[in-house]
Amino acid sequence: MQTKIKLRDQKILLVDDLDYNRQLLRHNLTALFSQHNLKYKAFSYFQAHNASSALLSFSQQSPDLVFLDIELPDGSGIELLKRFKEQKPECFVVMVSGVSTLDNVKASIAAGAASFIVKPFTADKILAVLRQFERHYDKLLKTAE
Amino acid sequence: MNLLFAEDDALLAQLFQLQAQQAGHAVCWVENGDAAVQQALSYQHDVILMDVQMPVMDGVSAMQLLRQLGFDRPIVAMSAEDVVETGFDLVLKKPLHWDQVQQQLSQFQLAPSAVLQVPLELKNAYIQHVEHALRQLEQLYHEEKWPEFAALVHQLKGSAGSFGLEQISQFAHQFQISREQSGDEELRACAMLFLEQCKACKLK
Repeated sequence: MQTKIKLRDQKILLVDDLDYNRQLLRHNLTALFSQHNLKYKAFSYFQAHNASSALLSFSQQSPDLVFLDIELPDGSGIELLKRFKEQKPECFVVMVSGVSTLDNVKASIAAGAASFIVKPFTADKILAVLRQFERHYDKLLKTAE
Repeated sequence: MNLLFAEDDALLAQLFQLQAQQAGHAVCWVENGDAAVQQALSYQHDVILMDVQMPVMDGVSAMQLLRQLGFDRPIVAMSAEDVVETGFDLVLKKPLHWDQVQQQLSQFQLAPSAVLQVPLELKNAYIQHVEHALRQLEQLYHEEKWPEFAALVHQLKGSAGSFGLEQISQFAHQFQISREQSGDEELRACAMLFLEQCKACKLK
């Protein structure tokens, strides 16, 4: 079932086994949102270090934007993506991987990924994804009107 | 502009690189659609020029994969034939004439750019993490626990570049390639090389 979309009610879930990666991503998301004239700035952040805690956090928080590492210590990010999309099809999930093999890219698309970035993180990659998210959210809001 | 040029004809690619570089552009050349997708996802390029007929993955499939992933930067098809697929921003007819290419490229804008911020405190904490990981790797090396060794190297590869430790990331990448190509005997030598390279690396 499609959940009702509300402006300024966005939540971001960061899933990565390495705490430093999550901190770096969060710091730069906040900076980019404020510096680059992006529409949606009022976010709450949630973090998970493995698949099971990510699934719990997703169910509790129902995030709008997820950065999901493909390689997690207790499972595959792609399998997790499928579960997320079952729960909330309109969620914008960005797959993050240290390896951009074609198999990973294709499997991510098949499972419903909205975007894909390859580590290391750069501001250009994050900014490109945020602009994609902005357009996605614009469409959702229009549909909900 | 930063251009990604996907073309399996090496001579054509060299000619394009020469002309584009003389005009002040930076060019990254890849030989097939698979490599083009992987490079494009680095979001380092302002425009992608994609040959339609390439081995491994053709230009149309590569463009479609990128568009499915929300990739919104300009993708230009290059072909001697008519291209009917939607998703390309422009079709350049082969053979390419540099003057025409340059004229067409001028319609595209530079992609917005930003600099990654790494707070000093976070960077210092990460460096301590790397130092700890290197000690762990040394232990794993002596115990010959190769799956654990490889998993930790993989983690370093994915994270080090984000914190400005590109060399560590490169050494980890080289280790992964060597590991795929070598047997048990050489694995030990690859692991030792990785540890020595990292030790010689200035982290701070």
